[in-house]
Amino acid sequence: MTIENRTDRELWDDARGGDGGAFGLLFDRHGRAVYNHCFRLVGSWGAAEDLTQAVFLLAWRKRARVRMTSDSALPWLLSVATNVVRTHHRSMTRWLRIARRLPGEDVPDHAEEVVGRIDDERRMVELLAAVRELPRNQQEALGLCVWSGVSYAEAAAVLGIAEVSVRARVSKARARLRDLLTPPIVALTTSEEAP
Amino acid sequence: MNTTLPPARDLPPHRHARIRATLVRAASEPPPRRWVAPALSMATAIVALGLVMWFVPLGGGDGRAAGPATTSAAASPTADESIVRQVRVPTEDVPELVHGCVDSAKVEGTFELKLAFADAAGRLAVLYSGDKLIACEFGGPAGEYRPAFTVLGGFQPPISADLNLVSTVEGSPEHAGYQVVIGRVDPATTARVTLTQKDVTIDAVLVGGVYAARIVRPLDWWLTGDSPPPAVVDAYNAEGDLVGSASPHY
Repeated sequence: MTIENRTDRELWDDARGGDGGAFGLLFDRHGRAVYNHCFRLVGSWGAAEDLTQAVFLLAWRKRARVRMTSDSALPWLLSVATNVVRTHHRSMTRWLRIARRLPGEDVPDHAEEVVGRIDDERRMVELLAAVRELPRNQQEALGLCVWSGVSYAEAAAVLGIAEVSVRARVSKARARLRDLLTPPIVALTTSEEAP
Repeated sequence: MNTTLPPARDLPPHRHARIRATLVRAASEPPPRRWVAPALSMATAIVALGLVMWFVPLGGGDGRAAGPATTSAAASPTADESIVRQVRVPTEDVPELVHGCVDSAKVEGTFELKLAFADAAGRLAVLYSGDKLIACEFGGPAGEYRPAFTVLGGFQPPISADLNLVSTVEGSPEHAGYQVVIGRVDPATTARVTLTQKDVTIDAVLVGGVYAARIVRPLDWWLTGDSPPPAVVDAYNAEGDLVGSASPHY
């Protein structure tokens, strides 16, 4: 079996044994998902880059205490990402601002790509403003299951709650977001038309 | 409002490669010494809180030993990695350096280059405008300028003492973490400034009353270990007597 065919659990075990290549392969598999998950929690691609690295380094730091119980490491990594963002959001904001690399320092970004990312960030900031109105546990469930595609069962496992609770949180989050994001009805009458 | 979720994107390829290399290296290294912080929170707290600290003047000497020998050997960083050398920027290159640093820091003001130094982590310039201080990395492979940090107030009051200290920690995830101290001393009374953290003491670069030093740490120092040992900055007169000492409060 080649290393590419190994499950996350097998790679994780190899990595814990000092195989850096195995850990690199785990990053290749899940770095994109973690990166996008972080972006959806902070609304900044630049911050998401730094957070992605922080998540994997933190995962590595926890290696002695973590044993994979499923073949996919993704739900757990997303859970780590959520905690990293939540725990360190306030202090990271400043830290990331001062530590962040200038964009495109080695490889210039294409203008279209840059514009697209700026547009993403604007939309995400608007969405996050509404999402942050939700209770934290609903934000967590929404991020994992709706935005990052983790199954209810996997989310329940990493959150340590019943699957039915995850479903309930997601359902409530969706309903509340619908209310928050529905534009108010504005009367389009002029003063002359008004009674 | 457009409420659709922005599309998923890939990490920029160069960033993906860098992070991957960092992770592979971290995973291949033997376990690091456990000497630093309850991790990130502490490191970032230092950044957030450890901005402007003032030396506690010790008078004309308090019996403490004269300046310690520069750089004691330690597991990490090594002595060689902690050597800080002054960089003399050619006069004709100063305007470009100042412009690049100010532009990258996205601040306004008329800045003056106070000093520049080089060590294992790269080159760092210190600029001051009268009410803002910029620490700026420069001269990388792509010739970029990158703000390490910007401090509003910088060297500003209270400065009744001979010495002051602007300190910060950067946990750069790219290459290495490091502790940076920058401050100002009275050149009439101070001839040497050292930075000590745990088992490493290095000489700061001291130019015209402004000093700067940096201790480079392993790449994941800010995620590993226990409590960060305090950094201590000591100032000595020409005779080697300790004339001031300071440590960040956090």
